[in-house]
Formats: sequence, structure tokens, C-alpha cells
Amino acid sequence: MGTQLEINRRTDTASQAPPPKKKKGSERDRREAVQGMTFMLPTIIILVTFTLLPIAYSLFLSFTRVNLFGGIDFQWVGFENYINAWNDDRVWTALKNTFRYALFVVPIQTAIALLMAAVLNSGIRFQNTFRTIYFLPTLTSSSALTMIFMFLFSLNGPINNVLVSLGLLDAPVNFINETDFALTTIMVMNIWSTVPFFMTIYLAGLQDIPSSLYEAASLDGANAWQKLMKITVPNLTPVTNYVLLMGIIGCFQLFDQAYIISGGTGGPNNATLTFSLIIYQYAFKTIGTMGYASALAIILTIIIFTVSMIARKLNKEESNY
Amino acid sequence: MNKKVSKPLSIVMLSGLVFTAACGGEEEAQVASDPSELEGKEITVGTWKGTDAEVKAFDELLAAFTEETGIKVKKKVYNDYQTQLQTDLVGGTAPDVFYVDAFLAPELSKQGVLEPLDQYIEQAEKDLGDFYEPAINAFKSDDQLFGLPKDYSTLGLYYNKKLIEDAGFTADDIPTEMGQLPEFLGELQEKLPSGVTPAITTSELARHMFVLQSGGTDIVDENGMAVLSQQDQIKALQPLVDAYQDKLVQRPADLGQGWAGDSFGAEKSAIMIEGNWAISHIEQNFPNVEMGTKEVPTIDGNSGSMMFTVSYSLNSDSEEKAAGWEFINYATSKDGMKIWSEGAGVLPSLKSIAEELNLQDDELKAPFVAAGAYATPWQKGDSLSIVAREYNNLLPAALKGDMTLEEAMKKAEETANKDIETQLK
Repeated sequence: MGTQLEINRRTDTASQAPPPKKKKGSERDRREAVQGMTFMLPTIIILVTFTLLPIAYSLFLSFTRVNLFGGIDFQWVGFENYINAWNDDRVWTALKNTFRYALFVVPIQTAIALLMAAVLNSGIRFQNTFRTIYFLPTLTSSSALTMIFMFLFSLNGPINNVLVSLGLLDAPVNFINETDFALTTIMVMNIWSTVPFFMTIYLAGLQDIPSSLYEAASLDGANAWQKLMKITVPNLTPVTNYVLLMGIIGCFQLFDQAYIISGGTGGPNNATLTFSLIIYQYAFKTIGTMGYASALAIILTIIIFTVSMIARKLNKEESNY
Repeated sequence: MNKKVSKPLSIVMLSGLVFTAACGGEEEAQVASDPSELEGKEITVGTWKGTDAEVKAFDELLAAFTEETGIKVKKKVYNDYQTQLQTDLVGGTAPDVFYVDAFLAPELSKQGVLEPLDQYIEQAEKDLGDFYEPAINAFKSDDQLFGLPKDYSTLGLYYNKKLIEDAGFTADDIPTEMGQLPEFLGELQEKLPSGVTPAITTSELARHMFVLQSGGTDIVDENGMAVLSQQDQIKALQPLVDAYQDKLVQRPADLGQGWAGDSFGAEKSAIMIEGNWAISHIEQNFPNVEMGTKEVPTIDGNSGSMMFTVSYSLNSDSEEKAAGWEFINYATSKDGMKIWSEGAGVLPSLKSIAEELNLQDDELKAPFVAAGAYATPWQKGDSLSIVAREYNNLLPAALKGDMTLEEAMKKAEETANKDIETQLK
């Protein structure tokens, strides 16, 4: 049973490095292991202190009603925070907003990123210049981007001016403060600022597709669109999976844009209330609700996990192998 | 499944318990002793940055205090005051004395992180009669005083002299009774150049609380529950909604600006109801705008305005309480108050200093000083942050006409109360 596997493994290691000599190696193996651990230790310590412990602590807090001030006192409330969340209309509104946001943003940003990457990989002129220019938004801080976008979309801003002078609008639209537009403005902003990052990842993925496939397809008379759909897209599935995952996680954690546009209230009339914003409100704006905020954070984690898994299944990562 | 979960969980619980034990322990109240013993001690004072003038005046205040008492002071400046202060309080690294916004005072005092000052005041025989009463009351809860106001701001009415005069009116034509304001704004609207809105105001509970309470119903009842949709409240607020829909009043965001001071400064509106902080902002950034100020129009003959005040409060966990109290005592004494309010250009919370600085004769500041006597402090118990959140969230829906005012206020009240019920009770 194990033989085939063993042979596989042996050929694997053989291709990478000479197999270690068994007897003499054990001493060296141990030293290497210690060395390896020493190299990893700083990261592990940082990871445990700043990531794992806080996660565990917030999991614990989510089952309590906690007062962190002065002498900390916990009151074990079991699932009360979770039940309250289930009955909380604001949580559902936030969930609806967040889902609507993700459903809109993730597919569009993925498609645009893929298209732009394909174009930039096709050997057009000034390819590198374009790559650099397109990557710039990713390097800018998102709160600075939000301020710029608020200017662009403001009542007297360039976008309204252009639309009005083209005759597309009769009067300027208040994109930022109208209930109907606020979330959409954030969507556009987010697509614009994340596309370059995903495009770069796609560009890297494109380097791995053998050019012989395209040559063969050209000989068979395939056009550019067919090559994109039949060669590029299927070969990029693993990269697409990564892009989808990161996109979904980013969307569900949407905070800074919503915070800046609504001044932290999630208004107008809950239009920009996102899940992260609600967590922030309970954690820092009202005192004594840290337990509830923790419960919401755990719920968000579960939602992101589930949605990501569904997206992965839908994209059928395994089918290509 | 259960087994898998329970182990890590119990470890976390255990560490939580250890945490609690380590942080527990009540502290005894520590009352000021002989001041000379405090010489050479060092305390930390937490502030937010404020304007350049405020920073300079604060440094002067600290220098004067150190000279007077020999106690050294370190500044700790917060950028995001509310979040950072909370983190510091939880982590036990909060300054000995810090600014407390009246809005937050009830929540913080309920958590026991603020030292009651009554004993210190008694010991030092400090006279509280000189403080403006609304400013002192803002920091009282359960008959204890948790801070002494360092200054205050109130709301007043600003008008653009040129715009008003070009429209053929004088400042005296601006009504002093709220009920007549919409009619005047209507007349003004016809004569203003296009693109200029008659009046502008920020639409949030912090500015509207006194309007909502003008009929006698408080926005929060004695149990801390929100009350926003009583008939007298709707009646008091409805004129604002009507005026908004007639485009007589706009919000700064409707005009594409961040806050009312900028809209007024850019001459996008002729009249504005704002706090006195806008005076220096407009003088600095829009020096060509000629403005005048008046008191907020009365509602049914009663004067009303909002008061925003900030205190110096003592950290109940501080190890230098006596020295901390000395600082509060000095900063709110006549000497300290004079240095601060003269330098920073703010309104002193002591009546005698306001008189000494002749603020009642100051053309622009006088209406704001006058409001100090009757303004409603922006403070209403520990549930106010939730009530304000829902009000600010839903009022725009009423202004836009998506809901009637009553529907919006009912929804705000219900959502807030549900939240208060589950989270704070």
C-alpha cells in the first residue's frame, strides 16, 4: 500500500536534493530541526501573542458580558450575545449591506483584474509603464483614497461636472450623502483601488501558462476571446481562487470607507452600515459592550469562512488536476 | 466536537481568571495633604491636540503650574481621543489627569475610572459658585462630581453681513423667535444669488437636543431609555424638516462641504447655527467674510442653545492623585483659567474670568457667553451614545422625505431602546 507513495516521495526528494545518509544524518537532522525552530521562533512568538491569543481571548469574551475597565469583571452569559445578535435588526441590515457589497464587488473586480492582466501580458507597447501606473493605487492608503474619492464624487466635484456638462444628468447628484448612492460609491471606490493588486497577482499567474498552448490555439484559428476563455481562464483557476478569497475577505471586512463616509454612524438610514462598522461601534463607541462586539466578530469569521468555502467549491479548484 | 472545543476554551478561561485576579483590588480614596510635599512629583495630563493657539496656551498653563507648585507635568496627546483613552484606561496606562468630554462623563464614571472630586473640593475649600452652572452639572452623576470644566462652547447664530445687506435686510431683521425664522428665510431665499442657501446647520442630535426638549420631554427618561417620538418633540422638530424640504435650510454635506463652518466661509449660505469654535476658523481661513453673531432664536419665547464642555478629571487608578488634584485645582482657578482662555480664545467656565476678559462686550463672542447661562449641556446619561447614533442615522431619512419625521423618530427610538435594553441593562 505504502510502496507507491514511498517511491513517489523518494523521487520527489531526489529531484530536489541528494537523499540524506540515514545513520550519520540523525545527529545533523536534529541540529537542523533546532536551527529551523530557532529561525521560526520569533515569528511563532509574534503570531501567538498578537494573533492567536487575541483570537482565543475574543472567543472567550464572546460568551461573556465583560467590563474591561478598572478591575476587569466577567459575567458568563453563554450564548446570550449570539442570541441577541440573531434578534438584532441592525446586524441583519449590516449583513445585507455587506452581502450586497460583496456580490457586486467581488465578481467585477476579479473580471476587470483578469482582463487588465491579460491585456498587459499580451505584449502591447509600454507594458511595464502601464503596470507601474496601474499598481500605484494599491500603494496609497485607503483612507487617503477615500478622501480623494469623496472629493471626486462630491456635489461640486469633477464627476458631477462632467456628467452634467455631457447632459447625462440634469442636476448634480449627491453621491456620498444620498441613501441610494452611498454604498454604490464605496463599491466603485473599492473596485478601483483593489483591481491593481489582483491584476498583479494575475500577471504573475499568466507567466506560468506555457506559450505553446497559445501557439497551438492560433494554428487552430482561435481568436483572442476564445484564447482568453479556453486557455487563460481555466489555467488561472488556482490564482482566481486566491483572488476570490482575498476579495471576499476584503469585502466582508469593509470598514474605513464606510466609517469615513458616514462619520461612524452607518447612515444615512443604515445605508453604509457594514459588519465591521457595527463591531467597531460596540467595541469602542459604547462602553461595556465588548462581549457583544466579540460575538459579532466571531460570527463574521464564521460567515467569511463559509462564504469562502462555497466560493472555492463553485470555482472547482480540483477539476483541473 | 465538544471535547475538542472545551480544552482550549478552558485554558483561555483560566488565563482570563488570572488576569482578573491580577487586576483586582480596590483603592482607598487619597485626599490632598500638605501641598509642599508634592514638590518634584511628576504627573501626566492627557489631552487632544486642538488648535495651534490651544497648544500654545496649554504649554503656558503647564509652565505656570509647575512654577507655582513644583509639580512637573508630562503631556500625552491623543489623536483619536475616545478610542485611545479607552484603550489606555483598560490597559492601566491612562494619564493621571485627562480631558473628559461631558458626553462621555456618565459612561466613564459608571465604569468607576473617574475619581469623585467632592472630597478634594471640600478639603481645598474651592468655590464652585463661580462656574457656569450647566457646565458643572454636565459632570455630575449620582450627586458626585467627576470633573471640573476647563472651558465651554455654545451654539449661536452666525450671519454673513454682506449677503444679508445685499438682499436688502439688516441683522435686526433676523427673527429672534424660531417660529418666524422659516418665513424670513423664505423671503431671504428669493433675494439671494443663486447657489446660496439661506441657512445651514449640521443635523445631528448634539445640535438638536435642546429643540427636542423644548416642549418639556427629555430625550432620555429616568431609566436611560430613548424618548424621541413624543408629539411635542415631533412638533418642535417638524419646522426644521419642512424648511429643509423647502431648501431654506441645508446641511453642509448637501453643499459638498465637510462642516458648516466651511460652507459659511465659502459664502454658500447666509445664516448658520454653529458653535463658537467657528469664529476663529472663519477668521483664519476666510478672512474676507464679514460675519456677525446673535443668540439662537428663542423657542416659544424660551432661550435655548447647546453647551459642549470638557473637564479635567482625575484617574481613579492614579498613583499621584494629590498632585493630579493640584493640577485640576490650578487649571480651574482664576489664574489658570485666565491663561488658558485668553491664550486659546475659548470661553472660560468661570463667570468672573469672562467678565475680566470683557467677553460680554466682545462683538462676536457675547451671544455665546450669554448662552452659557441657559444652554443645555450635551450630556444625558450613559445611553446617550446609542440614542445619538440612531438619531443621526435616521434623521436624514426624514429630511430626504423617505419617511415622515414621526416614522423616522419612532424607528430611531425603537432601535435605540432595543439596543439599550439588551446591551446596557
